[in-house]
Amino acid sequence: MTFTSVSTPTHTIVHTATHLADVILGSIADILGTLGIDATQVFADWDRDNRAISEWIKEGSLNIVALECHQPNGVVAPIFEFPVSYTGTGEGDRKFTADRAALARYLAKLQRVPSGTVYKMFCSYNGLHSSQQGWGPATRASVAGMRSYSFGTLAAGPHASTGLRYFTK
Amino acid sequence: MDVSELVKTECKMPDKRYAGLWDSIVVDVSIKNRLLRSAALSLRLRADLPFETTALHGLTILYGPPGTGKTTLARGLAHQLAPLTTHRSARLIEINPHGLMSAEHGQSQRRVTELLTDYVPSLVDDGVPTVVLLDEVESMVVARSQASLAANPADVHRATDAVLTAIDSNASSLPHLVFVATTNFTGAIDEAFLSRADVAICVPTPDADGALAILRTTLNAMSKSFTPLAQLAGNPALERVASALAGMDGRRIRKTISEAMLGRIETVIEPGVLTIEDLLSAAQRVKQSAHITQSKSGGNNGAH
Amino acid sequence: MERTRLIAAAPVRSASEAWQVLTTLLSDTLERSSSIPTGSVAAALANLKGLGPALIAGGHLESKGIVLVDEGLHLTIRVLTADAALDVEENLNPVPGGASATDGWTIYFPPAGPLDKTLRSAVKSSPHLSTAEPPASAPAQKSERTSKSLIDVDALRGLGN
Repeated sequence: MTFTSVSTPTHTIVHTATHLADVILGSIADILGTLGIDATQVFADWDRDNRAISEWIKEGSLNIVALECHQPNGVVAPIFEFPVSYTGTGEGDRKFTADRAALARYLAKLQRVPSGTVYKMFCSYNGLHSSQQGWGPATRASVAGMRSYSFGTLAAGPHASTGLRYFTK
Repeated sequence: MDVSELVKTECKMPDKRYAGLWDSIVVDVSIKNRLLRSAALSLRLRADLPFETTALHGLTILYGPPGTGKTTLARGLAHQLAPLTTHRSARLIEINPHGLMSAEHGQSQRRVTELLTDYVPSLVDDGVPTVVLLDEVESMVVARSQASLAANPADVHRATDAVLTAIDSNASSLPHLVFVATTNFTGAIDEAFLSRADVAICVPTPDADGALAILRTTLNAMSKSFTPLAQLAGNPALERVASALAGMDGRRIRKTISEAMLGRIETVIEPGVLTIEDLLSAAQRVKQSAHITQSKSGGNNGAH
Repeated sequence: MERTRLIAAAPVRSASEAWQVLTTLLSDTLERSSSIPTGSVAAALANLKGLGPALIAGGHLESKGIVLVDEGLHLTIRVLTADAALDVEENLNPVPGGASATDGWTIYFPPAGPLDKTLRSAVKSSPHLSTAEPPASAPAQKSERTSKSLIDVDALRGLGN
């Protein structure tokens, strides 16, 4: 016998976290590729980092994922921030979106960085957060005095969204 | 529903569970010969020659009234084919066409396409000669000219289209696949499907000789548990029972024996004491109930 | 016959999980063939660990997908994300044609934008991987299956009249 359901599918915070974690890390990989920075470690640590970001979003503790580009001359620029905003209970018809086409156009305008530039990834939090393997206390570079540009909303789900901000000297 | 759930059976032959099916059906030997030879010939020609030369779709239709053994013969065909193949192996796949067509609105075409052009081909990827049984195929290839608005004609048309497309595609790409479709209602089947059949074989109701053979076979089989029935099987008077049942379908003829046993409490207690008179009485009752059934349904729904 | 399969990534499953589903589908399909050793497909893709999920997470396998090509086999696998992933009806059964696959199978990766350079470098690790434009259709089968007789004529003679 075949049954047909007419109920609206329920998407949980897990779905939103999975979606946003993938978009954030995927964008980071694309940014590094665009800038010509070796992303080998991103790929090697992909599962670990994806799991951590996803868990923190599920908890509601993740505030910002930051990507810093450390140039051989000591300058830390550009810096990319992925702020996460939490939008309530997840009810309603909010969809899963990712504006990759706009991101691609945005990335095309980035200037490459000097050869030998490496990256560092940081997360900041809204209060208490779970500890995740491979992630420990660290200090970010300051963005004071840097010019900032906002991409706007990069991706969204029913429970949260993420944007992109770009800081340069 | 996953399309894999639409496959009722997938079994490699030889398999002893299927060994007796072919012989259990009593029909004119020419019918069995034609069915087996058509399958063997299809496999032989299509493996060596392109479709453009043979025009063989690898499709056989068995048609006739209900209860004449069409499905059983089709199920037994793969077991009969196995010893004729190069590797002494064949496969039977049985599809549930009703499951296909009971899917949600508009999904039938997609399911048919996925089942016949993807899932079944993946099952037969090993190249083993395979019989695919489409039982009561009229439910999946409804004559498009007769589709009613109430039955969602667009979905029906698309599903039938999908079956035809799959048959055409598999004809050349899967020469080791033979479809056997059974039906009680050829008039309900789409003409384009019928035209693709390499051979259409009528499996009629048994005549008196056929009825006699069925009665004897069944009584002999039952004598394994109730020994005296073997004598009844050899009784010349059984011919009178067979004459009375000629034209009934084989299933009904077999059931006449149990119908006879329930006529007296003695034969329920000990089936071995069944007599010719019991069988003759049962034959009359069976004929009478068949007549009532036909009257209520407005006539004979047999083959065209 | 050209075939396309769709796989759902986030939000249904993470990019890592989707990559695993994709490699499993490829392995299940190809390793049905006696010409392809068990584990060899995963081994060929091993150098794309991490990069594969990154391609998925970046949407680089969404519109064009990867294409598996061999004799009689032309399979496109696209991995969908976001709302499109929610509507995917997956078919993860092995793809027909895999049982007769040869050791000449090739997986073609589509252009990956910012990850192109990394991808081109990674595919060099295996002769089965490529970033070239895939052929439009499968090469004709040279294998003996299509011309091998299915019926034993001597056994057929035994049927008599």
